[in-house]
Amino acid sequence: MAPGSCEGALMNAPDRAAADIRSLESVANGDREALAFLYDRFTPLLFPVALRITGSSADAEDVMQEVWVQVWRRASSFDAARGSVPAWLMTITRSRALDHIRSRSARTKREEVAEPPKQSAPDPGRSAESESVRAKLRAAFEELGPERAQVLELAYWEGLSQSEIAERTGSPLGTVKSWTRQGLERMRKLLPDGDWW
Amino acid sequence: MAKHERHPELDLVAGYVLQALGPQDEARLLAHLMEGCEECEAALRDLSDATVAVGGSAPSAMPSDALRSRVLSDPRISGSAGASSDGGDGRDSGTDADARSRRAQERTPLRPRDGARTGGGRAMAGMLAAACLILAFGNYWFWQKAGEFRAERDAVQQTLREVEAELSAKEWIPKMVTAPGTDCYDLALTGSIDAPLNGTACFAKESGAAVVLLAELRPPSGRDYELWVLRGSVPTSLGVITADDEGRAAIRLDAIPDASAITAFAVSLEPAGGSPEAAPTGPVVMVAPVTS
Repeated sequence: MAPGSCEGALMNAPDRAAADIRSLESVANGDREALAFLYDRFTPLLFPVALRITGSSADAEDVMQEVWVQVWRRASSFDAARGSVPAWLMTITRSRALDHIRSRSARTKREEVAEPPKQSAPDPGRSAESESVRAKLRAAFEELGPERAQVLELAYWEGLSQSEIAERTGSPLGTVKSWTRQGLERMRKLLPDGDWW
Repeated sequence: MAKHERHPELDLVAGYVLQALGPQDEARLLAHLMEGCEECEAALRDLSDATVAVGGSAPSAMPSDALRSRVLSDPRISGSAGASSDGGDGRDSGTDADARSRRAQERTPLRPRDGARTGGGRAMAGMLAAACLILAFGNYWFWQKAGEFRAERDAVQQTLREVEAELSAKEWIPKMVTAPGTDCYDLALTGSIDAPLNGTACFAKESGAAVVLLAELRPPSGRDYELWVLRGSVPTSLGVITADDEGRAAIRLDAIPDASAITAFAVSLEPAGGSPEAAPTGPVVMVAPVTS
C-alpha cells in the first residue's frame, strides 16, 4: 500500500526509498492505488525528461503514458540491488522518449499539427526548491568541461551510442568511455538526498 | 586512476547505464558482472543514480491534469500486474478428464446375463440353456474381439498422438520465433575463449518462451557448454547444452519462470556435466543482452 502524503512528508530519505520499493512491489501485485501514488510522486521528476527529449508536451504525455504502462507490467523486474526506484523510472522514461523520437523522425512533428496540451502549474513552494536544484545540476553539467558535457549530452539526451559519439566528436572510443564515466561520477556527487524534485 | 587501469570494465558501466554500449562491450560487461564483480555492481548502482542527476538538470515542467486520469484509466493497466497467463491448465485438465472418461468407459464391465428361468419343460429348459450357452459364448467372443479391437485402436491412437507431438515440436520453433512479441538477440562472443561459436536467442518476454539456437559447439574434452539466464547479475542455469554431431543445438524452453526480469542469455564453458555451483565456474563465452 502506498504511504499517505502526511506520512510521506515526515519520512527521511532512506525511509522514502524503502517506501518507494514497497510501492513498486504493490504495483507488481496489481495495486492501482500504489501506481497512482508513484505517478503523483515521480511525475515532476520524469515529465521534464520526456519533454526535454521529445520537445513537445503532447509527445511527452504520450511517452509518460507508455512509461506507466511499462511500470505496471514490469514492476516485478525492478532490482533494488541495481539502483534506486527514481533511477529505474528515469531509465524507462528516457528509453521510451528516445524510442518515441526515433519513430517520430519520419513523421511530421506533432506540435506543428496539434494543439499542445495545457501544462498544469507546479506547486509554487516546491517548484522554487526544485528549480534551485535543477539550476545547480545544470551549472554542474557545464562545469564538467566542454568535452565531458558534450559526451554526456549526446549519450543521455540524444541517445547516441559511444561509437557514434566517438565518430561525431572525432575522439577515440576509449576516451569517450572514460569521459562518460567521469562525467557521471561527478554528477552523482552533486545529487542531493531526498525529494528535491 | 590505478584502480581504473586495473579494472577496465568500470568504464563500460557508465555506457551501460546510459544504454550507449555497442553489443560487444555490453556482452563483455554482462559476462564480467555474471562472474560476480562487486566493484562493478557498486559502480552500477552509483552511476545508475547519477542518471537521475543528469535528467534532473532539465527545466521543471508538469503535464496536463488530464494525463493522470488518462494513465490510470488506460485499459492496459487493469487486473493483476505482471500476471502471467497460464493457458495450459484448463486444456490439460480437460484432456485428463477425457482420458479418464475413456478409461472409465473401457473398464465398464459387461453386465452378467440374468439367466432366470421362466418355467417350462426340460427340453425347453435345455434349449434355453443351450441358447444361453451359445449367447454367452457369442457374447464372450464379441467381448474378446472388442477388447482386441480396443487395444489396436488404443495403439493406433497412441502412435497418432506421438506423431502429432513430434510434428508439433518441429513446428513450435518456427512458430515461436516468428510470433508477435518474440525478439531475437545475437549471442555475442565475449572473447574469453578462441572458438568460432555463434548463436541466437529468441525470447518472448510475456510468455517466457524461448528458443536458443547455437552452432559450432565443440567443447574441449572433459568440458561442457552450459546455458544461463541472468536476472540482473543473478545467473540461473538452464542446463548443459547437448549438441548434435555437427555442433548444432536447438534448445526449446516453453516457459522460463520470472521471464520479465530476464536481462540476458549467456553460455559458459564448464566442467563435464555442468557447473558444480549455482553460478558459472568457467568463462562466460557468449552473452545476448535482452533489451526492453
